[in-house]
Amino acid sequence: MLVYRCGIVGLMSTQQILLSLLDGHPSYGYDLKREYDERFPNLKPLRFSQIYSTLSRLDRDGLVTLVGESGGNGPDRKQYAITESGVSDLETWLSAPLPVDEAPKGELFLKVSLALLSGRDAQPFLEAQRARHMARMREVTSQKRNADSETEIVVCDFTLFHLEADLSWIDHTTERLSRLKVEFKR
Amino acid sequence: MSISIRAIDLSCQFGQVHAVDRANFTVSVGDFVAVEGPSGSGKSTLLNLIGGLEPPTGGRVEVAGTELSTLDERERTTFRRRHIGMIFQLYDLLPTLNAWQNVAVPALLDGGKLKDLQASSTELLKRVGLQDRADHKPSELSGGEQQRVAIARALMNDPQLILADEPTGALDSVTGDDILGLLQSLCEDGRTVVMVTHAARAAAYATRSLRMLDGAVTEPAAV
Ligand SMILES: Nc1ncnc2c1ncn2[C@@H]1O[C@H](COP(=O)(O)OP(=O)(O)OP(=O)(O)O)[C@@H](O)[C@H]1O
Ligand SMILES: [Mg+2]
Repeated sequence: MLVYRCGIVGLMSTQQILLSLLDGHPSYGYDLKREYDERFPNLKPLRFSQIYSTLSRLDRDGLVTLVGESGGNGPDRKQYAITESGVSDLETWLSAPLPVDEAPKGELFLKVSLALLSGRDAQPFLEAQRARHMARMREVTSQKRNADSETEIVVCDFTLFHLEADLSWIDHTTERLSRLKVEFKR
Repeated sequence: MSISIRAIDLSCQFGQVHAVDRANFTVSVGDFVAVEGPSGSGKSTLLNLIGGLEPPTGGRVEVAGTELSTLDERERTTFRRRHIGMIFQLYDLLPTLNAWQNVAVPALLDGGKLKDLQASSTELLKRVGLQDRADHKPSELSGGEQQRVAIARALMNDPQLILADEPTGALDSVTGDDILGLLQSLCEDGRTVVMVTHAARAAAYATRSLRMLDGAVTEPAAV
């Protein structure tokens, strides 16, 4: 089970979560929320209002499109489907590595999950992220080499040990991808 | 920049296992290359191929323009001793010799006299922080100390190319930093280092990475 806890689901992530849940089959706001809650019980819950406002913004931007309206009133009459540009937006986001220093653990995990959830390979993202982390580690290592004081060295080391921990997780997850995939089949 | 290592479709197969599978890469003089990859992905085999300890079963590899597998055994041993310093995953020190004598071995094999080599061997032990262990036998040294003796030994003949298999695996992080700094400065002086490592902090000392997966070698794109 997913035992990960994460602080914030940002605005960008809400958009990508909805796109990846819509990828493959049209859905209603209510069903999207239910699926999200089921898949990510340990992530911060999405509010209905957040889902509906994001959907209408995605509609306006052409990333999703309205495919049906059932009777009754309220926002949940609307059924949305992802568009071609929605798919390409999602794919771009899924494969782009996160900025190293701001990569909150939840975001790394979220990208891997959404890639698998939408039936895509998470490996290109993990590889790109690994390369970006390593590039940053090289920068900090050379900064450490040129350090003028022991203080500066241990400050660099603090960063290096943390980046190394991220990298270990990235490698470890890459090794486990095939097993993880099975769990994300829907 | 001149080429230190050139691998062309380099392969090594053990039975059904493709330990190294059609590897293509070049390493320039002065490069510090980290070889990363999971256990069993072929990293040690790759070093052995480069160092001429294992013949390729396909393709070829040149070191400074020489294809070691085309030399006869004696020429190959001499070439390796003069031009390549190898640091193995298991340090394989000679148990009957003390630390400085172990360091002197490559020069001894090249015809040097033991008594003439004490000063330079002891100097190398100093570079790896072991000056006060020069008279200890391997059995009287800790794992990390033995590893550092093996590193000093690899530097004895002032090789152009250093092949190191997890050279900091047995060291604490501060001693590891010192050794990695030493390897880095060797590269800055125009030597070439290829280092296998599992540790990202060690790989970050290198200027490039080669990644191995099931025998295949790739170089991650710069970001
Ligand atoms: N002499 C040999 N005979 C048969 N198989 C071998 C031989 N040497 C290595 N292998 C196999 O080749 C593969 C690669 O081994 P290698 O020692 O190069 O891996 P490695 O990447 O160095 O692993 P580690 O990180 O555990 O040291 C492994 O599957 C290993 O079992
Ligand atoms: Mg090995």
